[in-house]
Amino acid sequence: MDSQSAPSSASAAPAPAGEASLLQLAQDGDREAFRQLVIQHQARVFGIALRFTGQRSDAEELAQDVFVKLHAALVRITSAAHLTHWLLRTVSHRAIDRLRQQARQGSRVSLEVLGEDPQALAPESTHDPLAAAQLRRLLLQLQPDARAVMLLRYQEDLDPTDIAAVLEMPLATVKSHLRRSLEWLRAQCAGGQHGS
Amino acid sequence: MDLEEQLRASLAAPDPGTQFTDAVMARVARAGRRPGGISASGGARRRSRWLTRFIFVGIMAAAGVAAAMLAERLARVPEPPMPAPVSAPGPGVVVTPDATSAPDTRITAGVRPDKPGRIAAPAAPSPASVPAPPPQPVDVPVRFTILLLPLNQQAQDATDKALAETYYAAMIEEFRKVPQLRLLLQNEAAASPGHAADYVVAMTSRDTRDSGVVQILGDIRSAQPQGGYSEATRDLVTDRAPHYSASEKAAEFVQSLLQGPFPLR
Repeated sequence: MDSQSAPSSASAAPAPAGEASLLQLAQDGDREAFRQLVIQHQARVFGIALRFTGQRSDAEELAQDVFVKLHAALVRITSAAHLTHWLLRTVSHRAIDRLRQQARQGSRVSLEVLGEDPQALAPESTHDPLAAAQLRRLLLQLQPDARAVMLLRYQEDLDPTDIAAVLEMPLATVKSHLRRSLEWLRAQCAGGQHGS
Repeated sequence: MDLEEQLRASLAAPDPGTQFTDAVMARVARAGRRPGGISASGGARRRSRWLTRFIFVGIMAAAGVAAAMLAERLARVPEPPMPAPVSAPGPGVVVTPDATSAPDTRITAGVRPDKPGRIAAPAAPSPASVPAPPPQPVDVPVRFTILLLPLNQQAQDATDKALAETYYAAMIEEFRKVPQLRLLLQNEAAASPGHAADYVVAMTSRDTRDSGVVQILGDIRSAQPQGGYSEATRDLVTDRAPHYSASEKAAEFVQSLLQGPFPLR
């Protein structure tokens, strides 16, 4: 899907009522309006970047690149839903590209570094923090495409159709990635519980 | 807890904070862009590239136009006429048959006849209809002085006398048109006695009352190195109603003396 084309329903959540006006103001050159748009979407963009890279510094750099690119492409954004779709698509593709580039260069994300970086961890929910950290470490071992599918599904709560649209991936492939990744995670969690 | 619920709980998006927002806005400000627009520096570079292309295309177009104009101008320049030989005529000289005057080689010098006995036509002008260049003055390297004696009117008929005077005046005029030639009339020669003439030309109108025709002769005398004179006589006019004017006949006569074969040289 082209970055200029508006998504059908690819939005993780309904766009705020004022987002359309903010978008219009930002397109007219209002810096404060653009700042508000950044504030509204930075957690989602940064979150995906962080789950991909595993390191906060890299995630911030990647997410900032996405917003700078958004500012340059702002006039092509047609709606608030299109804005969300554009951000998810851009950050996902950039993160996948970066992972593939790191894989070609032989560098891999250090799980130990992730575990030792308290800022890399998301605010823990009321559930088991150790289990959440383990899941995030396991996600970092997935292939880039599968990782993107899992993040969009469980972080952004997109349905498989929207994931396929954002990642420009066949729906069957999205479902396959979801099924295999869940099976692998279950197996890993079960093995860890048994092993621990 | 279900795995999927655990994933959703563990993947809650962390807010990077206001420092992240400030960093984004700072980068946007450094980029100096308007939303979706062209940055100032980028616009200047694009304008510079377009200006460079425009100048280059303009120079190439101007060079093409200049080359086309030069080629057109060169195509219009006629080739310089081949100078006529002054000395003895070469094998290409075709002598105009004229029983009353010396052979005229003015327009036939250097032109070979394509068939014996015929004069080859000059080359046809190009389709560009370039006007024929004006006849160039014949480059005669020698300079000499001609003394034209007063008209010797032997004719008795008034009409013949008037005709002879007309031809005499035309002869003076034609001689004076030649820059390599100095014409002296008898009264001028008397005024400058120290100046010698290379040739002496005398015109005589004969008394032809009995023949019914007019006869005007031109006598040319030249001093020979070994002494004495060389003389030649030419018939100028033998018809009371010639089909040529006095000027034309005088010009023909003068040219025959200048270009030869000149019997006195």
